[in-house]
Amino acid sequence: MPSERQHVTDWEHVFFLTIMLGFLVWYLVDAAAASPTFSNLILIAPVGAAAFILLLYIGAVEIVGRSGVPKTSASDQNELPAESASSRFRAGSRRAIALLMVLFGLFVAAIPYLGLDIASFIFIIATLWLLGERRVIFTLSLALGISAAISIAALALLTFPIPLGIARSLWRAL
Amino acid sequence: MIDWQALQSAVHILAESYTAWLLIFPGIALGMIGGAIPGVSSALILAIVLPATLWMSLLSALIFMTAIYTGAAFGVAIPAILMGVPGSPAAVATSFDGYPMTQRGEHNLALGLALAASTIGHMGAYLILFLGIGVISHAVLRLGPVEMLLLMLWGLTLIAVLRGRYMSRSLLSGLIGVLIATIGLSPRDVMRGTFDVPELLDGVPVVSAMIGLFAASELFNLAGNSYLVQRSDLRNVNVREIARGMVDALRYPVVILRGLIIGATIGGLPGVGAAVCNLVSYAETRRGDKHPETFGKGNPKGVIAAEAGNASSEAGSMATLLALGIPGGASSAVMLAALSLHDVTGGPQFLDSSKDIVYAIILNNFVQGAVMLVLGLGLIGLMANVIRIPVRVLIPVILVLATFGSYSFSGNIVGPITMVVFGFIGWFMQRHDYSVPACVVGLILGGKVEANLLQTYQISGGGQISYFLGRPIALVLLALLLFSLFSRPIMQWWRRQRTTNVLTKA
Repeated sequence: MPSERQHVTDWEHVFFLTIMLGFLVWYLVDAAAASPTFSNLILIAPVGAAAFILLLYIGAVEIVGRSGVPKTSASDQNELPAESASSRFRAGSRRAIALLMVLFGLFVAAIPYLGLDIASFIFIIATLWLLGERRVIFTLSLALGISAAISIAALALLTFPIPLGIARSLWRAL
Repeated sequence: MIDWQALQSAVHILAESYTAWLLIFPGIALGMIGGAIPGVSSALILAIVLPATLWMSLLSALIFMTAIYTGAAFGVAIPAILMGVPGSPAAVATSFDGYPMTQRGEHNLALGLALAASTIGHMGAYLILFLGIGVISHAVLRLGPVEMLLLMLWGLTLIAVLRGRYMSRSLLSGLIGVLIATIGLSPRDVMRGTFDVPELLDGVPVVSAMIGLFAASELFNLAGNSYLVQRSDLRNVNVREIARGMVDALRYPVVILRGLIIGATIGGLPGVGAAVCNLVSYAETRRGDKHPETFGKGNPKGVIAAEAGNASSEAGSMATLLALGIPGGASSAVMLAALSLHDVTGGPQFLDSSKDIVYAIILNNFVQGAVMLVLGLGLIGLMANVIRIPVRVLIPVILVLATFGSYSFSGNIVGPITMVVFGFIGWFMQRHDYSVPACVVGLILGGKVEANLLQTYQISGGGQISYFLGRPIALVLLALLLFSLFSRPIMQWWRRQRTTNVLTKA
């Protein structure tokens, strides 16, 4: 006998929808404020309106559930087949994912201050450590090798300056 | 059609110019390796080697550059298949089925399929160029914004095809992608959504956003896994399997032919580029297939269609460059600069006076296709070893290389920042079953759709129907688009009706 399943709202999804809605409303207002002419809004207005309707529909389905369709709970979604996005998130890896995102954000933020060479060196060491690599010589060699390779590529091949910490001075000295 | 005297002269030039032959090998290798680094486009590699071409003869310079172009056209498919990270927008559709094949342990087969489709697409499109360069260049001149708009819309219909579990979420992804693509200075010079940041006047850097959506988000997901391919017995690199994939590709001649016709014709349109060819070829193959639901889950035809469309766009782009002097995209714009370094301007005059050079380039490209096959087999055999590297090592290395590629492409920190932001967005999208590829399709085509829509509206006097009726190519394109969209559902409906009638009578 099929059990009566209760709809559980995924508030993280609702939060994501709210962010999208915020972007949509802000962008439509900004575009209209810049120039409320037909030529400026020829694509933005219809696409924005369609996106708005879809957002409301998806939000409504997420919060109140869909009538006539068996309601699924968040825990059920974690048991979907292999192709489901949810199943790719292995138990225990969420912390690693969150920390990796933070490290990556810090790495890019540090480039203008430390240079791509030093920022890459530190990022590679920190990420390898985070993901479980404990061989010190391997970690240092890899970090040094990749940082050196991108520094040489930046100095020898690119025609515009990329922020570099010590690589440029070393290059000049050599 | 074919100018036999010029052809004879071309053979003579090629026979005497041994340096032109020597440049094929390094050119293809450089393009293939560079293209395999996410964010490093063929245009960037060509721009880097541009000063070196000053010391070469015109023919050698063009052959070296087309060899890089050829190598890069395939190189971008390697990370798309192995890691789900397209090297450039031109390989977006390749990742749809290529990466699922890798996850199933069929990476050798997928790489072989891609290499064969790319080579045949490349050579076939150059054959079309060889036979009809004059016709192609005249046809391109007859296309206006309305025809371009229809082609863009054709590519955009892929959003509906790339649905995941939820159609509504995939459509929303595509629409948000289209809106993001319109950020920046509009075709009417209106600033929208730029936060007054001057770097955003040119819009959101599409390549960086694409790397973020595909690469960064996927790499975030992989944190906690040990290898790209989970089963150790499937984690092998087998050149024989790659070769089997190459032979397997020959079982789908219609898919390849469709891809190369789409690539050679659409690739010739200025500003369209290989990304649209890749997407349209994939979409049409999926629509025409008896089992469209298998696409996106590792269907070999998806890889073949995408790569044939991508590789054949080069010949189309060369047709407009040589015959009209109009660059089809960033790469051919750099080639135009190489022509000007030799005091040559592409166009009808060049085509008339230097037809032997044009034929020599085309003939050389047939050889380039053969070299790519051999070189590609060796190089992808090496590159495929990436699946043997633990994910904990791959993640930081790929993220650093992608950041470098992104910086190189944008020329400032906006590229890497865009990559981070879209990496986070892509991760949330995947987590809640929003289609990342649909968003990327919107991102790639949105700006072009707006520009052509606006031009069409203005030229047609505010959307006058008589304007459209007077453009036969547009009407044919519209009919083809509608046929491609609705023929299958109509046929399915008709078959259902017939079955119901038969059952009722019985």
